[in-house]
Amino acid sequence: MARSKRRPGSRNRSRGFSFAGFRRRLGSVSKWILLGVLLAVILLAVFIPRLLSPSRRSIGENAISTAVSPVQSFFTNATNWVVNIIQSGRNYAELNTRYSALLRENEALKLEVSSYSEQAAENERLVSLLGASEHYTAYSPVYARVIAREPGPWFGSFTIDVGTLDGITADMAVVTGDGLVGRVTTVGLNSATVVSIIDASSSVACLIQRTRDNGVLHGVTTDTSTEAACYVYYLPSSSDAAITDKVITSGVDSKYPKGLEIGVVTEVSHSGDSTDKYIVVSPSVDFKHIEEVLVLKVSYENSNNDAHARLFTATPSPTKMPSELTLHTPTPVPTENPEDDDLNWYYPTSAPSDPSDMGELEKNWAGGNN
Amino acid sequence: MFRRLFPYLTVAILACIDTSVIPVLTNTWLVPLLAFTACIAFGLILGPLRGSMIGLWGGLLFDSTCAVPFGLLTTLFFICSLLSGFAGKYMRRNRLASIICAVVCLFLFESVMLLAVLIYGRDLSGHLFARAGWRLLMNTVIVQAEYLLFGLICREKTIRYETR
Repeated sequence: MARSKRRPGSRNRSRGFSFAGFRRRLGSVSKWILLGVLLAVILLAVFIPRLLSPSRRSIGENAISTAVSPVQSFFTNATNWVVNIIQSGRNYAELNTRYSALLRENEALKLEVSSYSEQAAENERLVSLLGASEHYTAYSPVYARVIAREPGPWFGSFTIDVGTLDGITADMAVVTGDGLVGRVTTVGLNSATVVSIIDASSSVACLIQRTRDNGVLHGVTTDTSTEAACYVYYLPSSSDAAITDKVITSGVDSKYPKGLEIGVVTEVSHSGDSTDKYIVVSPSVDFKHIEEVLVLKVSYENSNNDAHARLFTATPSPTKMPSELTLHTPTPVPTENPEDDDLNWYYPTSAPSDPSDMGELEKNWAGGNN
Repeated sequence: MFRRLFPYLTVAILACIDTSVIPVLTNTWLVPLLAFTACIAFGLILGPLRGSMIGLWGGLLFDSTCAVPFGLLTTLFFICSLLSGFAGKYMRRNRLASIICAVVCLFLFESVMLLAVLIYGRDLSGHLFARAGWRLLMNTVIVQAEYLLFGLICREKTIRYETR
């Protein structure tokens, strides 16, 4: 009987015991046995001791931890490094954005601060004016702002934003918290012109507070002046005004109320003649920076200039001629032709046609020549 | 040699990522179990014996860093890799084998973790079960991806049951 070929991979169908088959079966099982033994050893080595003493690591656990820890440290450090780089990039972008925003905010705040500084300065001026206003309550002060002024460094004359609608009239005194500024000269409906005391056309009746010496204050400040100054004339010859004496209004001229501060004496001339003696006064008001003023509503009775005594000015001004001194221009009259032998021959002269028109002097002159 | 060492190296690296990278990046509850899912995938690809060895190896690495009683995760990894190995051997023709195996193994893992929480004396609230469910879903998807990826990397020779 022919033996059939065994197909490859087919099982050995011999009925007897075979070492090859046994070894093959044992080989497939031994792997599982080996695996089970390995697992048991590991569990016994690490699991049981941990159960017995939970706070202490077993040898196996220690061994594995010791081997794995460096690798885990490496991974952790690498991850932290990457995260830091990414975070730095994000922080940079965020910082950049925030920096730009802060720059813009800084510029806006700077503008705001400068605005506040301006408001603070204005507040200071207004507080000073308020103090002055309270001081001059009896004069019903009117707050006004300077809206225009003449060219030049000094506030010789300027325009304020109040007028007749606000009850302002000419010759009202104008002051600030520091002292006298000037007076109103012309008034409109809602504006008025003020001439300050430093202007050359200004004159103020004043007195020295300490000595009570009266004088007349004139402005001498021009565009080329480096400092604002006023001169006080017509002081008594015995006046012993000294530097740093305060000068105030005397109220004699009925334009400025009495007691308004004008300035401080800075120089005293040594002339003995009262008309030549003068003192130099530095005004209390800063005439280079005037922004707000107070107009004192002081109304004087008989405010006509002619009813009061005039203030003599140091600079001579033309005086008014009396009406009786009016001269008439004589009209020439032709004279008679003289005779040849008449010794009383007269040159033809101009003589008034009407003797009654002749003035006193002309009558005397005509009689003398006759 | 590379094909023999590749699974062990992969599991080691993934275990380090699980313990040293992901906890640094985030501390949320929805984190992937890369080493565990890799053990399941290798079990499906390499069979019960080699899969269980890889699972043992991954479990030991994990146990060295976790605060659960040492040996618990080792046993868990071993058992799940063994189950996936048998699934890969006997359910290879079934297209749902990888999904079913992953769901079963991950369910077992989450159950053991919840049991550990209970043993420690903490209350089991509903949100823990919900989180476990979400983790199960996410890691099942990861198992599929790793199964396909490692199957491509490990050549067909290592997939023992391909010819059957």
